[in-house]
Amino acid sequence: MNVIDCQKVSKGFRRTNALESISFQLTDQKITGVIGRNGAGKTTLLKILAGLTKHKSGEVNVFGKNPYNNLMVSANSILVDDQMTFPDSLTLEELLRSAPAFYKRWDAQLASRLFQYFKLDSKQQHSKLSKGARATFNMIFGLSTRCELTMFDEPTNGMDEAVRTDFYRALLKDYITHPRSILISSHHLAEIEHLLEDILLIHNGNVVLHDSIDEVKEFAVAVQGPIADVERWTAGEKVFHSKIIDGQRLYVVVKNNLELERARLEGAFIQVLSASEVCMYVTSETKGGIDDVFK
Amino acid sequence: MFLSNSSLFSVVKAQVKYKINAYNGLIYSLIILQVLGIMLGGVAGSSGTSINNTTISLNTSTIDLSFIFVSLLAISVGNLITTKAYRYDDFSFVATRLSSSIANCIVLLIFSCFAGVTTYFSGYVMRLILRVNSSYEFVDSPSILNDPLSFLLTIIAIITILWMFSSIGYIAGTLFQKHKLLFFGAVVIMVMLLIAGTWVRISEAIFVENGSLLILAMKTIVITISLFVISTAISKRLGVRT
Amino acid sequence: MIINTDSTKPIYVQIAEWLENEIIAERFTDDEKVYSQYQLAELFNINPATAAKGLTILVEDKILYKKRGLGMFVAPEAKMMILEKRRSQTLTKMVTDIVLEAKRLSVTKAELIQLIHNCEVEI
Repeated sequence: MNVIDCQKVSKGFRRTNALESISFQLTDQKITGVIGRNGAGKTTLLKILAGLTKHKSGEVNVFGKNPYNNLMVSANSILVDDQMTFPDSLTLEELLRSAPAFYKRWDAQLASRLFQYFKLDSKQQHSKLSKGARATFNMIFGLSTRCELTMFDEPTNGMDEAVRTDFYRALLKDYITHPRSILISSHHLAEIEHLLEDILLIHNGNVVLHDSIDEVKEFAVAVQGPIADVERWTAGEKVFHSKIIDGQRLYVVVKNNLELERARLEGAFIQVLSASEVCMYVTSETKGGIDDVFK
Repeated sequence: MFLSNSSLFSVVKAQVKYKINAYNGLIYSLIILQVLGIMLGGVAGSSGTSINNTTISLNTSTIDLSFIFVSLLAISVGNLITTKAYRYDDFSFVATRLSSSIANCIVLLIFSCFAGVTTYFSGYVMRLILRVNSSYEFVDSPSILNDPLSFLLTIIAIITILWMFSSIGYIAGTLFQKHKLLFFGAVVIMVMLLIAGTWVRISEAIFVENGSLLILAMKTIVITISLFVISTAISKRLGVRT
Repeated sequence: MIINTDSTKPIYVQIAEWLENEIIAERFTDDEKVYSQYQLAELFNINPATAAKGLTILVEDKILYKKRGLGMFVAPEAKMMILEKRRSQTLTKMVTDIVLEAKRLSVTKAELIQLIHNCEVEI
């Protein structure tokens, strides 16, 4: 059974369409990165999957059920983001103690160990925490629920470099011992690339790419050479990005294809891109990028 | 894939426990209001006559004021827990809008029980204080020992009325969360009913013309539960962390 | 080794190459059990599926073999096969690059051979 099955899901806010038509399936026990520019619709999608907001049209299934107002989905999924709130009348320690009544697989040992490691103050209130400490607490909470579908929306916002690294390591180690479906959204793909098995690239409320990280990496390449040659090599190909260097050489990012191997032998300079570069170029609005502004 | 199955009952139970824990700060507000009620209510009404050279002044002390204060508290608490902050808190744990509403309803009932019982007994505290502090002659109203059954009925009536007030606050809050216009619309209708006098007639029919306190309590419970059901239906579509 | 996500090589290729290097250095010998995908994931802080992919390409190249339920083991003669493969693949690719660059710089074939010869003498 698919953990998530979305068919043509849309969601609008007043005049704008946050999600246009999202379709994808997520199979069991993978770490998937939800990648996209600001405003691409990542957060809206995760909120729909967690049953926090209702989609407008299309079909959403999480564990085979519509997540909105579904108790089983709520009991087996969690969305960790910076809008997570907890009552101020309870201390962090009390919050962690309240959790097992709700989450059947709550790992109290993991929670308290991480809590101590990150030196959080057990008598603190959630809303009084600094941005970084709150993100850390939310992360500990999310990991300890051991939910079959665990979702993190920009989890490292506000965390310092060391905590980020520790967080990703903790996530991976816990995933290895307790495999489950994990979705992480981020606009810093490079930071989470090593953790991911799959990438779900969202742009303007649509799924642009959904593939393994290596396939995404090989999805596009950069080709550089004399203008006429590059145009010939990449004729008929989808060009994601192009810019002219020194007025004579052309640099384009195109969909990868076998023809390019011949171009390489003809002297084309072909550059493999990192996954985050591929995602960036595939979702760029203008072919020239920021350079166009300075023309 | 291992999916844990939670029944509505177990989730509501966990939520009620958690909410009682989280909101127990309300008890301080309750105590403050009751103390205030006793202090101000201690000299509620007085009347006097003078025959020949003897003046008789009659002072009645009641817990009515405490009850009014606590009722206002019930409305505001009912309203408070529909606000975003409280609603979002629920969804950091396992919750659906239905479970969250049921839990709220139960928590408000539990708080009403607590408030009802303490308010009732604050009358006895007042008797004690007055006896110690003044030199008047006392004429007590019947106490528990005289008529246990009526005592029980009175407490039940107080509790259900407080619960009803909280449900009024709750539905007002839910309407407001749903759409501000809905809330103001409801207020306008209420005011119009008040002006037309319909409101007075309705409340008379419900609250005044009762054979016994038990019937009053029953009617109140029905109204309260209806209000909660309507609120739950409205809250079905409320978004979280939007 | 630290996995480089910015590298032009996919992570699973880097894992496979690292294992090959370990075999060449004889830190793993014939019929010895190698790391599982989970151990590799821990070791390099990568997704276990990526680590599994690295192991899979070595199985496909017959450098490792699978024992059901027990794990992956180094095939006999694995070292020889790796060296052979590196020679044929890596070297061929490098030579292609050299020839291409020589063409761009208008270096003749004879000059190129002379360069290689000189280089060999120096080393």
